[in-house]
Amino acid sequence: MRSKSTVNLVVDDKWEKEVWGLLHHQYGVSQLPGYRLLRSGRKRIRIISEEAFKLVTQVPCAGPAGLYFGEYRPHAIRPSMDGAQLIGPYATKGVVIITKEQANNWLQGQSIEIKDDQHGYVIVSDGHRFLGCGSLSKGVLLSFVPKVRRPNKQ
Amino acid sequence: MLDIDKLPKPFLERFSALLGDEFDQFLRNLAQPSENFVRVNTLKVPLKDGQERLAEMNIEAMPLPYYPAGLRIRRGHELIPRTVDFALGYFYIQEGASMVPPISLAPKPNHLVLDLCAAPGSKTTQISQMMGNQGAIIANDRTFQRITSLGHNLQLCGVSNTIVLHEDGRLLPQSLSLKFDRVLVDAPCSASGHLRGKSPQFESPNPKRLQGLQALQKGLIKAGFRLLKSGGRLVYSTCSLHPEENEDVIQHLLNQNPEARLTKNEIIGLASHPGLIEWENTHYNDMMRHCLRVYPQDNDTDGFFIASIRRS
Repeated sequence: MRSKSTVNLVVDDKWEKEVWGLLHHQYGVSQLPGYRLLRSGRKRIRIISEEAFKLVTQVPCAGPAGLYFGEYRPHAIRPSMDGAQLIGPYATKGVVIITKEQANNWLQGQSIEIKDDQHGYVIVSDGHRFLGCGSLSKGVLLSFVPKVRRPNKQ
Repeated sequence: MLDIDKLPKPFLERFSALLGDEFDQFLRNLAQPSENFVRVNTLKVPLKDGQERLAEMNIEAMPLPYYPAGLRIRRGHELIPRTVDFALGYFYIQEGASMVPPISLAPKPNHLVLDLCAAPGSKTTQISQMMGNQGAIIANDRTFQRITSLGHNLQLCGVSNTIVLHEDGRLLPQSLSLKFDRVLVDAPCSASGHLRGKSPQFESPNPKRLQGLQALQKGLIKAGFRLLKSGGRLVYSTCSLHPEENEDVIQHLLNQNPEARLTKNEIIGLASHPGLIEWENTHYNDMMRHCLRVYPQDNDTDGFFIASIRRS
């Protein structure tokens, strides 16, 4: 089924399968029971509970639905901060663990150096919590923490 | 802090009539600085872990007797917004009395819920938390700027069972063909229950403004009731203590809809007063006593009014 439900929310089974496939490849998560995915615009992915998903096509002029889960990048998914928190506990790969001090800097938007030979978008954890998603390349972990979500230092 | 000597005379006269013997206690309470509260967002962190994290940060928090996920912060509230846990959405700052309407709504995980005036999303996120992110919530608000803050708070709290609508709530029955198990009408109001910590320039709302608000509130409750399933529950709430914005509005709904029934609103651990049966020569339905008037001195929170209505 492929139907345009609202201004920019698209229900697309084929695309959804593709996204879960990429999530499986990157993080070992092939599905989250009780959740469905929606396409918003060209690249944005929203995740929505099953019951709410059934309503998307019935509700006129719907605004945002569900949670902003991440972006569909060429051949990879870049999870949002909350998307990473959601799949983090189920991830079997693509996770890096950083120290508390590194986490404080990374959450402020700073790139940090870590000893890890993974490459690409990774879920970042401090060992206790899933903090978000970063891009790891040659031992440098870039931060995608949005400014509005950075802990207020003052 | 509110300077009670500078409160307008009509305001004092009105609350003296409303509260009788408790008026002095009410005034003493208003003169106190406002209390601080957070809600542990159990969509992201288990309640026990949340409480332990606060304790580790030397933040002293006491669970509210009527809602364990709601915490009164005794010490260190200023630290909370600076923590990583806050940035991750583990805690949500929400006034203690504002947590009562969702408790009264008692949503279940399989329910379809309508939050008619949802922004900025405190109650929507609490409802979603109570539903464990299951079922579905339609969160509506007509103010565009407030929709932005609603979206931000839904995202921060990890809410995934909500669809946001941007409509005039009064017109929603014309565009929605759904019927809901639960409807929350947390109506725009004069905020007369929200006085603690206010500047001394507080002004009592004039009768014209109250009239305008009442017309809007009546329109919203009417729309909310039309969208309620048979056997479903509607909760009407305001952070105002003026009868014109509360009992008058409920009475209007009861007069227009014979299938609307006020139901008992017992919340264990919450101190409150019953709704008014009479005010300034108006006699209300006797069942109005089932409504909750939460005065600031009852639980050391803001004031609130909550009515629970069932469609028979």
